Amino acid sequence: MSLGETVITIIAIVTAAGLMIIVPFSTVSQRTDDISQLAISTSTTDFVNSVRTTGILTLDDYEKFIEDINSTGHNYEIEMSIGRLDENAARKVSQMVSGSKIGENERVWQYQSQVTDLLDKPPYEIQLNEGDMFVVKVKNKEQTIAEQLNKAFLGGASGDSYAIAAEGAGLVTTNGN
Amino acid sequence: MKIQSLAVIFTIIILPITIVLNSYIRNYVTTLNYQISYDSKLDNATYDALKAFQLNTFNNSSSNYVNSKMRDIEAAANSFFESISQNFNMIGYNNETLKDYIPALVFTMYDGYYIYSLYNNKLDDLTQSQIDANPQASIKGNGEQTYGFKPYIYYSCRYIKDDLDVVITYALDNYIEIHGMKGTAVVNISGYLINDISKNASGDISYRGITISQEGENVLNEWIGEKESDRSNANI
Repeated sequence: MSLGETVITIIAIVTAAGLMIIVPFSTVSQRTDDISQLAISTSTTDFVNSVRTTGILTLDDYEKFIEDINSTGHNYEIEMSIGRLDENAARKVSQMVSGSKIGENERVWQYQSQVTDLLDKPPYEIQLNEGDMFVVKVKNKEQTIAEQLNKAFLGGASGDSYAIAAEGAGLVTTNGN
Repeated sequence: MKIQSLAVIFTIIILPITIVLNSYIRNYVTTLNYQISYDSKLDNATYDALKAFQLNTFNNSSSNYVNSKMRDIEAAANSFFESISQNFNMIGYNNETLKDYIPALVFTMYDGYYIYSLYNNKLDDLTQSQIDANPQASIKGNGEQTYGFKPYIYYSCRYIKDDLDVVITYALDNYIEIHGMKGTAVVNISGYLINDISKNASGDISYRGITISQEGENVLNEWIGEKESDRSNANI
């Protein structure tokens, strides 16, 4: 075998190994990320809707939500926010009395650490009022395999980019008490 | 030709095709995902706006008055933008940025609609001079673009034919109002428009096989009754 044939043989073997191992691996990991994305989007939407329609956020619901999203095999960072109306808006008023409306007011925001502090203390639930806003954002903490392959071979973005993320927000439609 | 060369040629041909097709399908999947996600966010924000409107009007005894209704609708529009900005917050879009991507909000009411959209502000000279004397960032001057509600638009149309010149105002159900002139007579009537109704020569009205006579005895009357015990007590 001459030198030229040897070089071509080596190139062919390396290319074949790359195509037969890396390409399917990359494709499967991307599909897994898509499935994880769908799963956490659904879980986040269900969680937000259950809190909006009942007006109560319990520790049990929160832990069940964490369990659902962690079942995809990744670790996620959760950011919950509660925007409370700082007055009793949309209350019954007569014609002569000027009441405030939902949508006109400023909100007082409680963020993740404050919300989890409240959930960790008895009665392990938070009651919300009509017109409050409940927001949940979820994103993956570590890079997935697809992200790492993408960065290695295609020079994708680095830093705080994330492949799997979901968010849900909405108005609370009933008083929780 | 050696088999290694064939393998390399095969790779050179297949690899670009695979990469291009893969990229095309990935883009298609991503587009579909974004479509579903955006539709869901819009539905949620619309639901929140309507819920805010419901909650605001439910306990308000003056919610039918125009200025109160405008206030309720503006509060509902604020709720819509607040909800949708929270849903897009992770991407970095806030309230003001999202307004550029929402051409119009239409609130369909019983006999007309409001439109919330971008418009060119029109002020009279007196108001413009007052703004010039005391400029504020939130108040737009004459000709400047701003978001807000346009005046109420009724579901109405003008019809002119021969000596008939009327304006008919429609509603979401079959209630209509007709105002105008027929010749020199003023027309000012309103009521519910009903199909399959006819009037025969004798003046009887027929509707869905039932004949309603215009003459004769009164079929329906109002009954005022009293209990037997009250009547006996009264007699005593």
